[in-house]
Amino acid sequence: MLGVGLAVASAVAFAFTNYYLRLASRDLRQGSVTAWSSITGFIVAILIAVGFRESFAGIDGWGWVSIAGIALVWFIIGRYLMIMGLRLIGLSLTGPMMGTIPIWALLLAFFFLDDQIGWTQVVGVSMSTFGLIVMSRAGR
Amino acid sequence: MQKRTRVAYLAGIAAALGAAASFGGAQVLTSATVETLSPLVVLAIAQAIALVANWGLFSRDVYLDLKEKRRGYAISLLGGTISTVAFVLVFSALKEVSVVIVAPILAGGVPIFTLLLSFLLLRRAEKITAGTFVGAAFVIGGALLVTTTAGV
Repeated sequence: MLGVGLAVASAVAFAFTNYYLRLASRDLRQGSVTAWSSITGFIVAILIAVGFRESFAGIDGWGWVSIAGIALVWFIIGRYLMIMGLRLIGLSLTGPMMGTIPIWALLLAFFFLDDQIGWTQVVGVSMSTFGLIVMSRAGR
Repeated sequence: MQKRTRVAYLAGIAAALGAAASFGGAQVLTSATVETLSPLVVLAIAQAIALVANWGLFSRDVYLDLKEKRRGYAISLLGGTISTVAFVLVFSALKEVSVVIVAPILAGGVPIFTLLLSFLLLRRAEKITAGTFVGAAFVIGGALLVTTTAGV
């Protein structure tokens, strides 16, 4: 039950993140919002890691490459593009489009990690694609 | 003018989908990385790298905004804070329950709560129609079908 509560709380927190970044992107350029939000993102992350007495030792070369890749796709390219989306088409369209993240994860795992896709996943991808078309036409 | 607006609209859709694709790739990469490394350490170091890179890449935007005395810095900082808290909550949830439970909650919850916030707080600023809700329902339904059957 605690785990479910934490997961719901994280979903609410991500939604508020999108909302605040949308508000900021009305006044500031998207690059600027990306840069400013990185400051507190880093401070909070380092405080929590140190608070939980996590060890930063023993990361090998591949670990560093992976972390750099995560930084690039989550917090540099991903965040910049999301803020650009928030700025150009607003929260009401960008937010639901973030719902396609599992679809992209599935497709990337299929193409690059040779994961299998069953017929239910094909139906899921088709449903999401149809939803994207409906939303795009509605928001125009 | 109308053509320019249409281009901006399409660019916005491309950016939002690009962000979702990028986050999807990050999910695959993160799940592989945290098998051997602490999620909080990965998060802290990734944020440190992003901090340096973002200030290097976007310092011109920051300079221009400061020069034009624009507002919105405090809200940007708040967004960054809540974003990291959200990640920590995800990792905490994953310590308690399986990814099979957490992934669908995130896949459905984030778009639903975001649309709700948009409807409640930005109704006057943004165009939200019945089509937006119908489309979002299909997107969320598809994502839930994928996460509940693939365990992403």
